[in-house]
Amino acid sequence: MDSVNKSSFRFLVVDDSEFARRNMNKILTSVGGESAGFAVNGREAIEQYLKLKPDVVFMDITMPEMEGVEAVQGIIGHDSAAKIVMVSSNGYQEMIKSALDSGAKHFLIKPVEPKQVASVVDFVLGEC
Amino acid sequence: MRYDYVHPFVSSAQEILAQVLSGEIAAGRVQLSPAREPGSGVTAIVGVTGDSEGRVLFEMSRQTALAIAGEMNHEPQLELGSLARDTLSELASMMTGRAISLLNDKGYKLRVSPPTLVAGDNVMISTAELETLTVPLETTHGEVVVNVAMATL
Repeated sequence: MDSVNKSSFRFLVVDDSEFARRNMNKILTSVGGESAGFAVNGREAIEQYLKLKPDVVFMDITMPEMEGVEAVQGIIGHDSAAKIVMVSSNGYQEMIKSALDSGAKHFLIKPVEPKQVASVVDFVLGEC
Repeated sequence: MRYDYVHPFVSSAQEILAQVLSGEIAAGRVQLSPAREPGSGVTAIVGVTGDSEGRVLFEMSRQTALAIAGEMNHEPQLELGSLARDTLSELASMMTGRAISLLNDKGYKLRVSPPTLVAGDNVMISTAELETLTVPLETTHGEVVVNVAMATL
């Protein structure tokens, strides 16, 4: 992913909550993104990432089967340039550090606001 | 149970409700939970483990639950189907997540379980051995009562 046009970025949303997936999908579409797909746990996230090659991933942390931080490590193991944003209801320092140490580029605390998401997309896609 | 421990759960619930719903969220008085009556509404239950153990409950009427889920999805929710249930669970998760984050950043080590949603007539949720403090939060869709039942830290 050498060059990404923010106006046409493809995203993968990973969350076990249907509400959270729909909400994030709506917000990302409103800021110019196009859905590449979704996953409901970390294991599926790795499979979907390898299959869909999205420009950016929005990843929940607490999920069944495989949690978000482990999934980030799995994806980064395959693609060290992967752009992953963690999205969680829990935003304490230790958790944020753990997520960023695993290779995530940014961290959003739920509930997410469209402006905040747009700004993070700009940042991770290198257009800030 | 100390009030300074309860406060993060109440203030976080108030803040999150204010973010996801329109209108002001007014908090009522804190009180020790009265004897529990069987409810006919909806309750989201979140377990807390770590330095202290207990649970946080968010109780509301069915009508309030549907209205909140409807506003959060920007589309009416006419029944407590999978999307409405999931929305209310996610709301409970956000409210407790913010509280846990405030406490953990002060040095506590706490974790929360994924929420469980209970709905139906004559459902009794016991917090038997734990002192429970309740605070009603008034939304434009009706009351959401926050119940915090935790062992003393």
